[in-house]
Amino acid sequence: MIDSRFSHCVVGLAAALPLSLFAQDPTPPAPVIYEEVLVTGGKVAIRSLSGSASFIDEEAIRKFDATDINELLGQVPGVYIRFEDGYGLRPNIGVRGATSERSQKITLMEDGILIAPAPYSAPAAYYIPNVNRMTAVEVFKGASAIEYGPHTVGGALNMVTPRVPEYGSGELDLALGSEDFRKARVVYGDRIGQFGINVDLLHYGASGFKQLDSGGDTGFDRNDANLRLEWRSAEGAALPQQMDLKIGYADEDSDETYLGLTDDDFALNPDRRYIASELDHFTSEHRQIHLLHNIELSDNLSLFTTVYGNRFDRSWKKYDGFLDGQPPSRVLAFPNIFVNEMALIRGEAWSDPDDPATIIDITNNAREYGSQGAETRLSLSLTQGSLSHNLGLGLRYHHDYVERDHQVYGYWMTESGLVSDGAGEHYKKALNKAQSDAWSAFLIDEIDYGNWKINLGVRYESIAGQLDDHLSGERTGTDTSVALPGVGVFYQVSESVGLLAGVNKGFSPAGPAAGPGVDPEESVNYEYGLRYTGEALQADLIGFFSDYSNLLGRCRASDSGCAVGDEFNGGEVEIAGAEFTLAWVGAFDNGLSVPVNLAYTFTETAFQNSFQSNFSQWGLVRAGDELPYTPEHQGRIEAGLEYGAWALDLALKYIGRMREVPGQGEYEPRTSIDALTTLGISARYEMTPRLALRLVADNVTDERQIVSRRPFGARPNLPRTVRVGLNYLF
Amino acid sequence: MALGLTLLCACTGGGGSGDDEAVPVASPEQFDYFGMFVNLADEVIVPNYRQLATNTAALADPTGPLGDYCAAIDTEEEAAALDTARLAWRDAMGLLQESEVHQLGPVADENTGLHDRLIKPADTNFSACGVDQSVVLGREPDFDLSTRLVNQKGMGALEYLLFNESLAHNCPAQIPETRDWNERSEAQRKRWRCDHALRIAADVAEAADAVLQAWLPEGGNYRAEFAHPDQHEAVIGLLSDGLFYIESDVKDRKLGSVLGLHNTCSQVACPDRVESLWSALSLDNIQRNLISYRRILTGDEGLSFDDMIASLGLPGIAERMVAQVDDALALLDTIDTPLKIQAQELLESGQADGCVNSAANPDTTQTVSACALHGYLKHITDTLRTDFVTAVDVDLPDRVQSDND
Repeated sequence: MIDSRFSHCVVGLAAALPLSLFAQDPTPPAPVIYEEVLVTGGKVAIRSLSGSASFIDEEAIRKFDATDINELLGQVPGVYIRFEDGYGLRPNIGVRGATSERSQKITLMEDGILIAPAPYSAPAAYYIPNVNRMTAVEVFKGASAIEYGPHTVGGALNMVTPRVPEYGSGELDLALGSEDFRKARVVYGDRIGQFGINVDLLHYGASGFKQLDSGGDTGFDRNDANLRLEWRSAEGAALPQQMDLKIGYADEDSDETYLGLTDDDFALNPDRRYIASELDHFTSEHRQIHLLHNIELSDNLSLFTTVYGNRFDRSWKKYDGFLDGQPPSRVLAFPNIFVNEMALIRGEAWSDPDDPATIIDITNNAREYGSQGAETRLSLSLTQGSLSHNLGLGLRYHHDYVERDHQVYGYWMTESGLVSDGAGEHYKKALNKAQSDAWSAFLIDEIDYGNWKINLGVRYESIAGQLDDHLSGERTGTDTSVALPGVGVFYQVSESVGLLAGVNKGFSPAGPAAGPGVDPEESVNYEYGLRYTGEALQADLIGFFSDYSNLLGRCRASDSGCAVGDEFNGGEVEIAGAEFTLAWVGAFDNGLSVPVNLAYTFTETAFQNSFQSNFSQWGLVRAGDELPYTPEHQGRIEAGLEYGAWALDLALKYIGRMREVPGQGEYEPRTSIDALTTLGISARYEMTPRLALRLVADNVTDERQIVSRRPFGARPNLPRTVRVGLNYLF
Repeated sequence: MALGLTLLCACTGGGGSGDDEAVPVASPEQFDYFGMFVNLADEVIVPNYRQLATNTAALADPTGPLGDYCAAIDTEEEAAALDTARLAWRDAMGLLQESEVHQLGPVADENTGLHDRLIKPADTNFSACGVDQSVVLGREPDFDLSTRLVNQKGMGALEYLLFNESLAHNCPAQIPETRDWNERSEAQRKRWRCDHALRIAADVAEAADAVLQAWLPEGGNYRAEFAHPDQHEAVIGLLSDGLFYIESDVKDRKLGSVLGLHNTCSQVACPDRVESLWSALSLDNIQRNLISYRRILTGDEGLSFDDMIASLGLPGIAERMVAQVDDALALLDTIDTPLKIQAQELLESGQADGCVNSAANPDTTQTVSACALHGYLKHITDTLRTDFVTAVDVDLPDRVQSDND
């Protein structure tokens, strides 16, 4: 499977003298060693993978001018999203029932490199690369995920960045839209001999669709600058190799909040934001440097090495309840009980400077994350007759950390809004550093024999975590070592039909902040299904069953009654379901093309044990209770018309009803989310081969609904938004 | 699609735990008291009051079952209409009996007197003569039911008017209002009694609705006060006091005093002390009391005392308490003979041994089933008095502290 990532393989001999690195060879461009780091192998290769995988190509990303990865992943079955701010600024992505909270149970990568801020020490991904600048998004589950860790309970997601173009070329993409949405992206790349450069600049933002009672800002701005330098060995080199250096910077400035609405207020105006959140402000900076190197040691032996470093700093000053009294999630859930508190949040009552239960808690959760590591993968192909082995051996060292400094400030609610209580810093909710050192290795063998493809693999993780709590002066640590085997089989029954089956051990480590009684999350994942690949039609039907021996819950700042990073055992859980995808292109003699894509997921979940948990997202759990935020049904169907320079696409998306707390039987209105159906439209017109105009409308029928009551109260989906844009290639 | 779904059918399954079984929790600090109060308010108490308000409103409706009976008097439909009206009363009475186990908040506020308008205080004797007088006085346009004493109103008075087969009055001869009552025609006496029943039913319905509104957010919002974490300790006390209704009222007054097992009855039995004397539904009342007790104890599918006690590391106590009330309910399901008949038979026999033995050994001796029931209730109250109050850290209510049987 590894070899198939690379588009071309050049065999040659060349002196590996330093001078050769600077050889000038103006024409033609040096041969391609690899184009992109596609962990699935690409759109074609996944059709014969022994595990389930999805590939979203650039066309699909551009079609609806995706800036929100939550919306984009609606095309992928088995992926569950918990919506939050409407723009996908901090996605909550889960795969096959694994919790979606801040995408902490999936392995997030950019070009095959871990990209979450601290995947071992603090898996909640407050940074995820902007999908709008990607050329592909890959999602893979089951046995396909053996090579990628640490989180293999659900699967992995890889975002693929653009390569350096073969010839000097660029792209300008501009868009304007509802709520002052604006986007500008400039990409330019060129080559000089063995060297190449690509510059990718992106800015996008909006003034926000929420309406603060005090009239303040609720929007966001994001910037993303990336430089890619590439070097290739000269044609005919004895050891063809390629090196890419990626340097990236991204920042965000947003007036985002955790504070939602009561259900009654939501019914009156879903876009309202209470005045208690008027000061809420999030800023972040992400910096990365990635070095990728591949060398073809022989016809059948290659070595791919990455060295990486990421830094992510964020500061989120936001409403977090009151200096004393009830947690905000409880206040918003029971506004008729906490009448005084709600009045303060709405600005209908004023704070009593002598009563801390009436003073607004604005906490700045400042965190600095860092991750760095190196990984090398050796790929060896062996063929004997009709039997071939594609062996892969990988080794990675990774270190990451998070430093938390959560500082509380007090504010009075007054007639003119929030006013500082003048006391400066009150106290710190958290002051700690968690860090992890992880060695991981994998060994896989993809065996091809006639119509059979068998993947055998094992992943090994050895993780040492440490938490220094500067408030208590305590140091705690965890040490975890685990071997994660997996096997997948694909059998080509006929030219069009293939069968697949696989089983693998899933794992998600307990973080450094986990107490001694917290076990890592472990599961045994099964999948089995059928693939049909025809000329115009492709269809997959895959069933899955995940048997968790221990589900982990992880406390975030928005959870009450626990410290950030605390982890909780959820006991045994079973998750089962089926994924169905269909892709068909109807081509007509007159040149009309009708592409249709369908993705549907059915899911059943059940806790196997009864327990009471201090984890606010679970609470009282009875055996048989379904997991929250996992709808039984979800699906998306997209149909298009393409004719000449014109293209029109309609996408209908359905997310079924789901619970917000564990439960079974009838849904309680207060603790469940209603089903949501939205329609999106995209229209494109290519004025010239270089210039295309674009009109995109999301949620055309303006369906407005509560999509979550976490963290603090009801939150709406994105209202109808329209964007017009142009794309110019030069 | 069918293949995948078929293979997955029933793949996920829950454990064997019952819905209302207490679930384990690691430590008392983890117990969600707020969740317990909200659950009891939203799933047990307020729904009970809501249904009571609905049923009593239907009873008071002139076009409802009681009004239909009044209109059917002296017609071929009279008997059937009376049965329907009696059934409606029975349903409402059952809901009221359930509410007796959570006498707290608005219904217990002596300033409003709402409880006494629903059902007379336990320590007052029903006044049949007073009701008979009111039936006649009620014909006057300026009659004001609110001026009548509490032992002449409420669901007890409705029972007397609907279930009493005798149309004769119960007043001394010198009472002017009833002097010529017995000379009136049967039809007229029935109609007058039925008209007064509607007046009383309207008063009961108004009181029931007032109790409900007092709990609702748009009304008095007592729910907020009940569930607020600042009131946690006080509310635990109120709820546990309510549970002791099973001792002071159910075990002692409704059973013990009737069966000669309580010192308020100096004979072998005192059948005239039976609650719901005319409808013979006293055991039904007890059943509803126990059903409500169990719901308060377990919170149905949500948090309540059983989970709280389990969080204290004492799941055995919670399990025992649930098992004890289940024993009593199981026995009640098997009893066919009304309590009054059993008490009368005891009195006529002059022998207390059978009852005493049944009460002392309910698991093995059920010679007198009502006495065995008393025995099961004593199991419940013994646990309440000892393990429960210790675990929950509350005091015995004043009204039971002197009990020493």
